Amino acid sequence: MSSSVGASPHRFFTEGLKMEKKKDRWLAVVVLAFGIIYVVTTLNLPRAPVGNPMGPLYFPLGFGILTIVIGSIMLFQSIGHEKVSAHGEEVTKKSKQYLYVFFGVILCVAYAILFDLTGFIASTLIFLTVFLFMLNGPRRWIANLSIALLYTVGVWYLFEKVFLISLP
Amino acid sequence: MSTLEYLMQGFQVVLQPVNLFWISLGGFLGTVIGMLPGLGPATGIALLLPLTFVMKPETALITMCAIFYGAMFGGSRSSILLNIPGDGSAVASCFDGYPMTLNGEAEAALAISAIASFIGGLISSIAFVALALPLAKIALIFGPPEYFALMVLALTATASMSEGKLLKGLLSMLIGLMISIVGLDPQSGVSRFTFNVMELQGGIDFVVVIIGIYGLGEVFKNLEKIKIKNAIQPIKRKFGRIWISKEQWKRSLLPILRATPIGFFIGILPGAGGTIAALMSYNTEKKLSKEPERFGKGAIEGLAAPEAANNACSIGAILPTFTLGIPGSGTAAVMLGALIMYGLQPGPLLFEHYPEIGWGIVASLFVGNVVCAIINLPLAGLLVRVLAVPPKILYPLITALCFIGVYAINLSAVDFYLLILFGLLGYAMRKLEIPTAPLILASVVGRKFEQSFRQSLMLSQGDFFIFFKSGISIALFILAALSLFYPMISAALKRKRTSN
Repeated sequence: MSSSVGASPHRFFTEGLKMEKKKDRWLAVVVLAFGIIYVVTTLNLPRAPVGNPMGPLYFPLGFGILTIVIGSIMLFQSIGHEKVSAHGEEVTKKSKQYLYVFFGVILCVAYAILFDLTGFIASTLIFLTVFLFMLNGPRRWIANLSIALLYTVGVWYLFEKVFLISLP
Repeated sequence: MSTLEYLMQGFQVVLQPVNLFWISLGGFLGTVIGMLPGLGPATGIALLLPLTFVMKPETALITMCAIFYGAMFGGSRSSILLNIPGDGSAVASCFDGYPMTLNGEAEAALAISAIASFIGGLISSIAFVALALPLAKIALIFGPPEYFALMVLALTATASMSEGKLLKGLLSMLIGLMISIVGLDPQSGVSRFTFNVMELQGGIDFVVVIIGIYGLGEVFKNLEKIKIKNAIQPIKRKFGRIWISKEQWKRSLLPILRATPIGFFIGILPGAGGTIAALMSYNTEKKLSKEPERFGKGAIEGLAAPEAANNACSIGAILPTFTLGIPGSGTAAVMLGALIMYGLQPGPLLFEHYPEIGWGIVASLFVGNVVCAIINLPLAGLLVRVLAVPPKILYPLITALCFIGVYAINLSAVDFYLLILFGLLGYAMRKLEIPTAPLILASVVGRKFEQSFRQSLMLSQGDFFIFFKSGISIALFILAALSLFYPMISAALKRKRTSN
C-alpha cells in the first residue's frame, strides 16, 4: 500500500523532470557506493564457527551485489541526460521549506536525549511546547500551552492507568 | 468440525464485551487516522500497536484488524470532501467523490462510500472464510525450499508492482532485507552489522522501522510545506441526511458487485495493494459504462466501485498473511509482524492450535465491517470535523506519539535514535520517490526468508539444486521472474506499438 501520495503529481512532473534526472544520478552514485561498502563490510564479517562457515554471509553478499547491480543500472540510465538547469527561484524557496524539516529533526533528537534525562512528562511537555510554538506561532501561546499540557497528561494517564504501561 | 462451526466459535470470541469494545474503539480510531491526510492504515496500526501490548493476543489482533478496516473506511472521507486522499488507496475516490461534493451531493458521496465499503467487505469476508482453510492446507505441503520461492515471489512482486518503479522498488526491498540482517545470526551466533553496539545484537525491531518510515517520515515530509499551505480549505460541517436515493443505489449496485472480486483477488496477490485495486475497478467501470463522459464529473458509480474494491482488497490482503505468512500489502506486513511479536506462527497451525485467534480474526472481519459502517454512516458528519484540525497542531502530537509507541515496545528509550534515523530514511525515500511498501515487507519477512534459504541448504547439504526440485517452487520462481520482467516487456511492447 503506498503511503506517499503527492497532492498534485501532474504539476510535479512537468516542473521537476530535469531536476529529477540530476537527482537520479546522485541517487545512483550513492546506491553504488553503498553497495560496494556493504559488500566489503560483509566480507569482513566473522565466519560461522559451526556449520557452513559462509552460511551467514550468503544473504548479505547477495543483497550487496544486487545493490551494486541496481546502482549501476540506475547510473547507466541517468547518463545521457546532461542538460540540467536548476531554477534559482525555486531553490531559495525550497531552502526555507527544509528549515522546518531540519528543526523538526533537531527537536526529535533533543526529545530523545531529554526523555532519558528527565522522564516522560517533563520532556514531552517541553518538546510539544517548543514544537507547537515553532509551527503554530507564539501568538497562540495559550492554545499551544494548553494542548501540550492536555496531551502530555492525557497520554500519561492512558498509559499508566488504562494500559498499565509505566512511563518514566 | 466444519468451517461454519469454527466460524461460530470465532463469533463467540469476538462478541465478548471486551473484544466488542475494542473493535468499536479500534474502528473509530482507525477511521479518524484514515481520514487524516498522509496517515494510512499501515501508519495507523503501527502507531496504535503499542496500545495492544497489554491485551490478550486475540483481542490485540482483532483490534488491529478493526483499525485496518476503520482506516479503509475513513481514507476516502478527505478524498470526497477536500480532494486530498487520506492514503494511496483513496486516490481513485477523489475522481468522482470530490466532484460529487462540488455538485452538492456530499451526503450521497459519503453514504455510498460507506455502503460500498460495507458490501465489498462483507462479500470478501465470506470469500475469506471459504478460502482460509484450503489455503492453509496448501501451506502444509510447503517445505523450506517452497517457502523460499514463495517469499522471492512476494518480494519481487511487491518491488515491481508497488508503484511501477522497478529499480527503486527493488532498492527499497534490499534496504528492508539489509535491516532484517542486523543482529545476531540465529543459526550461527555470528553478529552481523551490529557495529559493536550492544542494543543492535537483538536485531532491529520492525515496529521501530514501521513507525519511523511511515509515521515520523510522513511528519518530516509534511513539515516541508506546513507554512506554505496556509490556506486550509473550508470544510463542509453541516450535513443533511447521509443516505442515497433509489436511483443512485441502482446505479451503484452492479459496479460494487463487479469491483469486489477485482479488489479481493488483487489483495491476495502480493504487492498489488489497494491503490491498484481501486484504480483498476474505476477504469473497468469507466470502460463498461454507457456514459463514460459522466466519469470525473461526479458519477456515483465512479465512487462506489473503487470504494468497494478498496475494502475487498484489504481483506484479500489479510488472507495470505494469516494462512501462508506472506503479507499481501505493506499494511498486512505490519499485521504479520504483530502476529509474530505475539509469538504466533501464521499458517495452518494458527487455525488448528489457536482457533480462538484464527477464527476470532475471521469473525471479526464481519463484526468490524458492521461496526465501521455504523461509525461511518450516522457519525460521518461529526467525524469529518477531525479534518478541520490544522496540521500545525496535529504533527507535533503525532511525532510525540511515534516516540511513545517506540518506548512502549521495550519500555526503553534506546530505540529513539533508530526511530529518528528511520524517520529520515522514510523522508528521503519520499523525496526520491522510492516506494516504502517493499522495505516494510522485506524487513518483516527478511529473517524468515533467510531461514528458509539456509534450512533448505542444510536439508540438501549445500546443494543449490534443492530449490528447483519441486514443481511448486519452480512455478513460483517463474512467476517471480515474470513479475520482475513484466514491466520491461510491457514497456517494450508499448514502444513497438507506438513506433508502428
